[in-house]
Amino acid sequence: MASVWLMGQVRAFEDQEAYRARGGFQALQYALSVSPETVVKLVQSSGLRGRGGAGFPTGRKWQGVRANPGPRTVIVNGEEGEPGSQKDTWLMRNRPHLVLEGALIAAWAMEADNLYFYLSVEDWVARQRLEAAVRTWQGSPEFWPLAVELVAVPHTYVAGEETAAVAAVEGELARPRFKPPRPFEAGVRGQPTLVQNVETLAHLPYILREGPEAFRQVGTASSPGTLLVTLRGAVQRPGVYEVAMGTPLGVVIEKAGGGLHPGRQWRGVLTGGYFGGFVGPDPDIRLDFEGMQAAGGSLGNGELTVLDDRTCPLELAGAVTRFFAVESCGQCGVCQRLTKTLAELVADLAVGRGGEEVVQRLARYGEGMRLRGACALPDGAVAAVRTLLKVFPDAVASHLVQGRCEACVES
Amino acid sequence: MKTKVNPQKCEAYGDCHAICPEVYQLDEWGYAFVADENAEVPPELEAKAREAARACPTEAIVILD
Ligand SMILES: Cc1cc2nc3c(=O)[nH]c(=O)nc-3n(C[C@H](O)[C@H](O)[C@H](O)COP(=O)(O)O)c2cc1C
Ligand code: SF4
Repeated sequence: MASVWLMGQVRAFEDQEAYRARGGFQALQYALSVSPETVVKLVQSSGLRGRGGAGFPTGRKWQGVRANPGPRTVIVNGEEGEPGSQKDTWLMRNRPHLVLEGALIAAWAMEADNLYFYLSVEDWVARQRLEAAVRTWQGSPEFWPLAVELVAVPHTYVAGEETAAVAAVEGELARPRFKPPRPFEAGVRGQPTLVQNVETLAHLPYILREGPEAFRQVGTASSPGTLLVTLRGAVQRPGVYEVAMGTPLGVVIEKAGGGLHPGRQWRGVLTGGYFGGFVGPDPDIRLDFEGMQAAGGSLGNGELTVLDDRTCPLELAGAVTRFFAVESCGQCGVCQRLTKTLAELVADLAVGRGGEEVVQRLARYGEGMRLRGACALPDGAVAAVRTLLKVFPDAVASHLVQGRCEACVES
Repeated sequence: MKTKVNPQKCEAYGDCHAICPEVYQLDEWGYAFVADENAEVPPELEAKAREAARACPTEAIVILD
């Protein structure tokens, strides 16, 4: 695959010495030698976009935070709530010094007083390694008086949402808050707060050390750089891989994932963890924010679950909709009702109960119930339902009539 | 002026819809929503939308001036 910098030769834990030997902390040294504004400009011209799900331009987000007067706060979002996603934890466990350097660059650029590493309590390996990395930095020449803290919360899906992260850092339950205000306006203790995904931050050292042009040489014009992909499902080699943005889906499945198991047929992909919906088996879909969206899915966190002819789409859609019903944090009535209803309807359809009306209701929710919650969680369930009907009409028709499909029979 | 419904507060009383149905719609469970939160409220409806916000028992309606 194309040139890589997040994973490179690193296969296991990289200590500080090894990281420095690879040029680690040069980017931070450079950042500290120039003004925060200069750092913001460089990140802006790199075209870096957030890897936490929405692909928001990082430079623009930074400007938004800086437009509000300090003191400011930075939260490193390592909660990684998508089921099965492993990319952020891979970075925190194996390259804690890279993640730390990226986080420090962001804190410098925001002129922040506080930096929080935010992750799930279950990920104690990442936690210990980050804590150790912070301690080495505190004794290094790159230290400056910045308060750094680790905040760990019980793992839930919504805990990774930006306002839930703010609430958790404030000592409250990690549940989303109504917007406005958004964290960049008023986050932790009312301060302008940058909430940034671990992988997004891990791109910063390369951008500052090699320059925005070098970063832009990989990837596409609107989605530059590489991304970490978590490949799951019906591939021979599931795992975390670094690929150039814009790489065709078929190439990622073949070259990184080792292809499907012998004799199996590819029938689609669930995109963006559980959040992005299904796309069909088109090998030419470009793995970047635009390409995925054009295909009807969403790049999201870069997680791809591959379906083959023994994977029943109804079964997977059932798991996804049940997951969202369970993970709905219950603050919004409409989210509770909607996610529960979708899970029940998909379960009915799967066993062929309720007839054509079930499909019609699913279609109606799939098209009409967007952006109704205080956070986007219900939209994930809606996307799964909408794309299930569109990408797998045969399986839907078969379940409607017989309560099963060919994949159910064969596996 | 823009307006939106805070879904964490809405308890489906429906008073907003009774007062200003042009802006506040109800879904099948009775929860209120604004069709396009990014759209400006037409000037002739602003007063009714404010009245709906005042009437909401759970103070779920947000007016963004
Ligand atoms: C329900 C929900 C869950 C989310 N979970 C995560 C998460 O686990 N990790 C993450 O980085 N972003 C998550 N996000 C996105 C964050 O709100 C936020 O946009 C992101 O951390 C910003 O980082 P970025 O700009 O670097 O992508 C979630 C969003 C929603 C709506
Ligand atoms: S939309 Fe759902 S998950 Fe998000 S805050 Fe409301 S109830 Fe919680």
